[in-house]
Amino acid sequence: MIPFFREENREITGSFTAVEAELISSLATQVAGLLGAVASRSDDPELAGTGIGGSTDRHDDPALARLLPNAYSEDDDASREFRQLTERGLASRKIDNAVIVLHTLEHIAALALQPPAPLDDAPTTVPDDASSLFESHDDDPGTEIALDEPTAIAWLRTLTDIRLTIAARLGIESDDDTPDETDDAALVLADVYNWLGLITESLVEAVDS
Amino acid sequence: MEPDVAGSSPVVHPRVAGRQQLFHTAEEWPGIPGPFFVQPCTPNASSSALCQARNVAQAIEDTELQSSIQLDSPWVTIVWNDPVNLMSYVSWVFRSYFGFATEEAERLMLQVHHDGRSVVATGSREEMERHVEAMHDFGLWATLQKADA
Repeated sequence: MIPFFREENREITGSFTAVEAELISSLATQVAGLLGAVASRSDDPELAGTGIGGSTDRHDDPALARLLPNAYSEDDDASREFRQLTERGLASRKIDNAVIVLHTLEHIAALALQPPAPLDDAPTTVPDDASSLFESHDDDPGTEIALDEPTAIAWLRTLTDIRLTIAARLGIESDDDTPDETDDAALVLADVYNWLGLITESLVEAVDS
Repeated sequence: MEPDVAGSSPVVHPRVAGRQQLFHTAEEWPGIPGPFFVQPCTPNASSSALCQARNVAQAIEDTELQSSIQLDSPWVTIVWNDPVNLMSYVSWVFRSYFGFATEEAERLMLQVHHDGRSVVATGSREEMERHVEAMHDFGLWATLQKADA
């Protein structure tokens, strides 16, 4: 990965290897999938096409609860009403951002999906991908992508949604929380989380410059 | 609110008001013909009965609008600290969305970080709802409440 930066021609560029692109794509797809159930919810058929008619209560899933939080901290009725009116739209916009990220990465990520060597039957799971992220990729120098301003903002929002989701899965709820040191999968996920943080940081700087 | 015949007051659920532009021009409300929409009351035309009636109606509407804002106000938008969002990102959101200068955005961001929360906007309830929804779009944790709550 070469972090994002602003070129002299104002274009924002970064570079990802196929494995990295596939990992980000996989995570974006998972977050979009999580939100998909909310965005397509139509409890009330009359409201199905209107974008309103979302669920009424905060989600039990901590990741969804953080992605789609209550709007009123002290008024459950108002939160419920607001959620019904706005939640599907919010979820849909988040999915749209994730789809934009998938589009910008698809030509790189596709390279990672080429048939593996015959003896390599390791499943393409996030932890396996993630551990290989931190090894050198002599055979894959990375492929550059260029983002315009709206695409960069969609990227920032999706990177944030992915990190919020991972943080919820890792139980990171305060500044002092750290992942369980005895849980290898959690440690790998925490590495991914921090790596996505580096990308986000570079993209904020690039958008800002 | 009763719909009036001119259609100048489309019925909008009060909680949705502000989320969409009301219809003001003939182009935006093509089904309704005629001068209600297309002819502004210019100084030259202001003596017409129609214009006078509209001016009175506008004055009443303005007064009602002001009193409803006063009744509704003030509400506040609060952004809460979370361990995920980067300080640079939060500061950028404050600048790009609210239009704060760098120093003000930094001050509010640090307040969120150190105090756990910061009031980033004050105004009508509808306005604060729009801000909160926008913050949720950015992945920031925001809520609204009455200012004195």
